[in-house]
Amino acid sequence: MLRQAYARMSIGMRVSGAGHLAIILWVIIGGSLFRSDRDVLPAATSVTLVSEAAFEGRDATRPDVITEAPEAPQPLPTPEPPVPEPSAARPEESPPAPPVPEPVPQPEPEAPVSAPEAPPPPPPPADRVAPVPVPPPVEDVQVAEETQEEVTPDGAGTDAAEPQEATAPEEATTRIITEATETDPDSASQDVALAPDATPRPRARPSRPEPVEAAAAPPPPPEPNPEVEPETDPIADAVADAVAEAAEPVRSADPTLPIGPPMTASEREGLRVAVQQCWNIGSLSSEALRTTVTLKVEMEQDGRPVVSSIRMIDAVGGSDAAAQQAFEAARRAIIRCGARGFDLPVEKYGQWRDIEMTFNPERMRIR
Amino acid sequence: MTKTLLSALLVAFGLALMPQASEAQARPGPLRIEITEGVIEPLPIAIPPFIAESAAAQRYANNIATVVAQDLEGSGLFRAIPEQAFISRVTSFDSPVQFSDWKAINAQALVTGSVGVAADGRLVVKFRLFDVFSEAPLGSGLQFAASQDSWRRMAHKVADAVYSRITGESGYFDSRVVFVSEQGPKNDRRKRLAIMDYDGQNVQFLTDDSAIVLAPRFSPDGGKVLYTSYATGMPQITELDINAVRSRSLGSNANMSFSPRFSPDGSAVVYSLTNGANTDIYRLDLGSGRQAQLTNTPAIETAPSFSPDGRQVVFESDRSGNQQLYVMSANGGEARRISFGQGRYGTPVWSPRGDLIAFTKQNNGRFHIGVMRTDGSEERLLTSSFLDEGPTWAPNGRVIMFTRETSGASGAPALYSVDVSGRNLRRVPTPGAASDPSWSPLLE
Repeated sequence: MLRQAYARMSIGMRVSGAGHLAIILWVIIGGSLFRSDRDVLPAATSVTLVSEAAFEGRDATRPDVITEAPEAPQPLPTPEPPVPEPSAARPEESPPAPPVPEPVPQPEPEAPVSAPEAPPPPPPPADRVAPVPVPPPVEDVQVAEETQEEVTPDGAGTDAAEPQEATAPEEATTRIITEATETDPDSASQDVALAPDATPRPRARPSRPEPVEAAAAPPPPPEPNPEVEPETDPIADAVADAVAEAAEPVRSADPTLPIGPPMTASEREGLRVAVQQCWNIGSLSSEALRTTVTLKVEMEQDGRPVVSSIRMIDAVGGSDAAAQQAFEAARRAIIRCGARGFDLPVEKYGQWRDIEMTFNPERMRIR
Repeated sequence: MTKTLLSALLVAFGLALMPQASEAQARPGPLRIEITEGVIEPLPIAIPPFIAESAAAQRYANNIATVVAQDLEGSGLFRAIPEQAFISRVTSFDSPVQFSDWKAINAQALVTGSVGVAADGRLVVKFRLFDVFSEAPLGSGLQFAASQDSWRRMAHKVADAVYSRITGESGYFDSRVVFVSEQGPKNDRRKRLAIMDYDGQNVQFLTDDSAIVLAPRFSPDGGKVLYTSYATGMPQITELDINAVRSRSLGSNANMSFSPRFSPDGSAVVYSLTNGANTDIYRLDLGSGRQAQLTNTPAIETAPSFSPDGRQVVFESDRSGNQQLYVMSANGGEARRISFGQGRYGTPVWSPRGDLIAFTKQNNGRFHIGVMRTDGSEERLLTSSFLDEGPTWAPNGRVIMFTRETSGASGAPALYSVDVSGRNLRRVPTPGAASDPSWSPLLE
């Protein structure tokens, strides 16, 4: 009995061993797994390995990597940090990197001690409710979508600049301020009660950052600036450069359409912000404000939308009439803000020639 | 060293992803983005003067365009671009539109129109609406014809059509408001019923000042008004036929009756009746004259208002010890409290859309006009002043009109309107002091 069972088991083990051996041989000799790797690897191995020494002196190595990919994406046009940079952003033969002018004491006084969470005072009411608040323009300044300085002829100069009036964006607040919230005695008394106890602001801002004072002040912990860090992260740079370099030769079926490296999050965000500035839902019905529409639009290579190509491919949450109103508002946004061309990378045109934009007003109903 | 190792690993990881990335890029799909934040601002609209097709129509052409612009701008949803900014002029109703000129001044919509006088002397108003940036008409053109005296109504009709096509909801400009016109010192006010266009024009008085009148309410067809009259010395509900200017009393007993309101189909009236020291809500069937008591508590219960489907009634009651809002079946029965905030709630009015209830709230020595969902949730206060009360809904449920009274011996009531979002608070022009507004349905 035991013998028979042992014999049956050994047969099973033999079959199992033979099967495993066959699989291993197939994988090593003729399997597609490794063959696929061999096919693909040469396309990606053009990335140079970075030595430790070169890696530590990352600023010096960086231009080399960039020069391998001509017209690589320039530093992303992030509008926020007005850091006083030298005019040449990344010169080819730049002298040893000067010390970064980090001790610009802008943000430090703003974020000191954690204050009790007093509700922020309501912003002043304005006709325009937008994601970004805009202070009221100075009197006699024309309201326009872009800010521009006034240019006046000075009489003596040879500059051929046309005289132009100063313009400023329209005043905007971030939420609807009703008369009730504006004059709410509860919130007013709260503000008054909280103000003297724990105001986080210094009593007076120093007029000019003196180096001596800066040295005397306790050095803040060396927190990296979260906005600057990604640009100088060598690991991320190396990976991004490797990916960009390896992806460059790829082209779509249509050889006239450059694909380029993948769209970055900043490029997508830039497009999203550009469209939302023109997405005016102030005149939509309540039902249309409950309707999410998705539009498909074909783009020209200069970043302008092909108006005749804009069509609604999906609508969720409302009647046909509401969807139509929501679609028209979304279409106006695309056409208006795309009239001068969205800021999109030409080298990646193949990726954004067709865009699907979903307009979801859920967060904008009542604010 | 650790950094190097980490770097190498990440590079290797990036390389491992390359085949997939390359394959995906070989067949790029559409770029997908989601926009969740926009802006809320009045839509810039250009309304050039309408074309006069004859000399007789000349004086109406400019006026009609002006009223259309005032209507749309007054809604708070549009911003009429001043004529001085126009680059091109509309010289003919049928000439092609130079969209580039209107885009240049950021007009997002354009209204063109013409006014003519027909052979029978009637005024004929035509208009077209264009989406400037799409360079396409928004709907087909429309034409109205009416007597020359009705030119303002035709302008309101044009504005309603424009409003409806752009916002997707019906307009409210071709409507009227009945209210109590007040004259004299604060301690001796003479009150008369008056009716006017929604924008304060064409005021007409419906009653003289021989008796105090209160709380007028339109019938669903806009042809009748219920109000409370003190003609007999005791408050009694009275029905007034606006066209015939003929009234009849609906309160036939010796008790005080007040705060009436029509049912949505106009066949019944709910109102308050005081019996001794107790006030309850009753329902009167206008066809049969049968009366039914809907509430029966020792509390004061008043200000009933039907839901648009006629199945429920919202009212105010102090049965909890404090004045709050309740909802019950239109046939009476158990009532459900819906207001739970601090302060006192009163004069609830159900929105014509059925989704909101407007109310007056008194808290911390101030009065507010507010709205809440029909279950009492999402309460929002829209106004705040010394005395705000008596809200009434525009026929499209987007705007609320109410009474605001200023303090002091010289204080006087006036009518104000506010968008349901709390924006666009503005005073409604009336000749003298005014209170207790009631908004009519859209006129036919």
